[in-house]
Amino acid sequence: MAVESIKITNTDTDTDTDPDPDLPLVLSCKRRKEDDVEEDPKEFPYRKRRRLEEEEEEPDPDDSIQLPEFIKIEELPDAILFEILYRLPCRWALQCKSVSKRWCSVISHPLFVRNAMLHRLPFSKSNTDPFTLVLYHAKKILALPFDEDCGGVGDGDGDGDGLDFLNFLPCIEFARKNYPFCVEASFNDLLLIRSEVLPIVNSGFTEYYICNPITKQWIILPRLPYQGYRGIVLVGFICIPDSCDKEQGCITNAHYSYRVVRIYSPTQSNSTQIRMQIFSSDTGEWCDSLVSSPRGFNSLFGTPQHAGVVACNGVLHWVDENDRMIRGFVVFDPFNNAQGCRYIDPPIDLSLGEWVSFGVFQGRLRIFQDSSLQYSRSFSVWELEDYNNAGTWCLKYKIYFKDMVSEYSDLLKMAKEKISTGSLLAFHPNVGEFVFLQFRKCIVLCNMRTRVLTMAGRLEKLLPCKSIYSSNSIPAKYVFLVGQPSWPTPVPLPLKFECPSPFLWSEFVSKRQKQKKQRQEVEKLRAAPTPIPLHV
Amino acid sequence: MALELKSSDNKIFEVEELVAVQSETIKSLVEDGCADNVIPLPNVDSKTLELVLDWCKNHVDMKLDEEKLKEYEDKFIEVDQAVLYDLLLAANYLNIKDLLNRACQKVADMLKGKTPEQIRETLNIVNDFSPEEEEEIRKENLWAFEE
Repeated sequence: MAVESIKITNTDTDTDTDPDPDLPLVLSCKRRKEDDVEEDPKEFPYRKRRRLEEEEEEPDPDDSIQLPEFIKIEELPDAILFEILYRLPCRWALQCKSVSKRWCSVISHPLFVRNAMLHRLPFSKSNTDPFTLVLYHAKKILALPFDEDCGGVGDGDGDGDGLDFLNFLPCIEFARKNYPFCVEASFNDLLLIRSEVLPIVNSGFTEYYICNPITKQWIILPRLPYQGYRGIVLVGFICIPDSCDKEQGCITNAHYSYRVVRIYSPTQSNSTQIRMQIFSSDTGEWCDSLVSSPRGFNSLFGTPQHAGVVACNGVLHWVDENDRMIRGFVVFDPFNNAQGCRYIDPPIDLSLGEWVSFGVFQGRLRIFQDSSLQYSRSFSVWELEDYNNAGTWCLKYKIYFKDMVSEYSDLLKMAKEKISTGSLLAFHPNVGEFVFLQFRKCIVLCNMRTRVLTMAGRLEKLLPCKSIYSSNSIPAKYVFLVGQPSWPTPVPLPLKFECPSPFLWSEFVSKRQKQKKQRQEVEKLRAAPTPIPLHV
Repeated sequence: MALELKSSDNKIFEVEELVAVQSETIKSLVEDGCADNVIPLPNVDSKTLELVLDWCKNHVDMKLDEEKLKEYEDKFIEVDQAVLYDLLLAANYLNIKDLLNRACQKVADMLKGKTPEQIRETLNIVNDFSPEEEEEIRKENLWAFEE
């Protein structure tokens, strides 16, 4: 009986009198105690006793009147402990799992994470939701955390290539040795990474990792055979909550379906079909598809390649261009791919021949048009409204470089120059009027309402080339906004498929050495002629 | 209309119905028509009941002044652990959502930042995990234990 175990730890701290049994409303905590996890002291032979150096008395199990308040908190019913613990930030709540078995079971309760996230919901989507800006360029990564809406001036931590950020992934060794490696996409706080092992010691393969850089969990999707495909492949990654959660309207991050879509560029313009490889978390397999669209598909070379694939409202979008003119946006639902693709026309006032990038702000598709090479030297931002019906583009901001103001004189200087500056890196995830631009090697935060520029980071680590005129711009598709939700999204454990075991660099090296040795043996045998046995 | 509440130590408190029905428990009694006589609250002592009623009264008075209410709440919740415990139980028993919320948040804030060992020490909790089990939990949630 629970009451018995309490006796061991305290004799009679309760000054409450026993509840009157005749009373109809008795919600006494003692009654609830019976539902508690039983703590039979006989089962737990060892009991950690700590010396409380500050107290003069030693904690004596039979006489705890000296420490009433401590014991009392442990006497709370599970329901109240639950209410207390889910208010803890995720990191501390998870640490509390190791306090005791009772605490562990309370925290592991299926509704715990849901309550924790719902509780924080009124405070989320505020200007100060933290996120990390992750930029990828030529096998280097720059990860800049933003804890407040403006962040500090960061240039990333420690080492040169920034790959430490993903040190927990087995493929990083291959990346460091210059094997094909790329950060392909992000969704909320998850990243999609591509790594390729060239056919040297085996037939070679392409593997995709889905990982959460905060919890350092990862899985490998089933390997694709190495193709050495030289054409352009765009990759999209999208997750949706499982249908049961959509109905209940509850937010839980543990149950979701996802798709990884590889889109092969058509070689001719106006192709009727586009080839895709789609990985579905529901089937656990890759599947080859030919998808059609009411309008023709064009090559992904140029703007589409740099703009990448954007996930918004549960579907994927990419740019369609022909003859260097933007035709529109292709929309594809990988969860219902039988329907094929549909199309969104560009805004009427978009200059079709100019450079365009796009992104998402809080579930709304946005276009960024860089007109810095034009005489007017400006950039414009459109937002798609009323998505579910025809959808109309609305010009939200048009900013002229000459109107920009800043405390930073070098930013102002760059803004006034005639060379192309101010390409889109990303739209700020929390504040609609903020946008991250690249000015040469600076990450600039531009307030599109006030036209004020502030410094948000430096790109020297990613773009080490000494010349200040080097025009390496990082396309928006390689800028990832990795969110930091109140509870990190768990990386889905492989349920329906066998997660391949990682192929490690050490394995690769040893296999290669073995092959080398074998080849050497064969060479030796060839060089030295076998002696002809003498007949005696 | 006034209601009479009796604490566990037999002290009678007279309160306005509007104040008392902040407690969902009392509210349902009133709605069921069982609140004509004195309402006994055997699980709440007079000291705690006085604090709780003060909370309820201020929530009625300051309902429209959010800033003032927040100031009051912050000051109110600065109490000893023993009193906090009693408030928690009373808020749970009487089903006063905002008091329960505030008190739980206060305890959570006290726990935040402490390692499991420190929590066990402060709250005198028995560690019933074997070293292997504890290690398993740490491994599963390694990122939370780092730093």
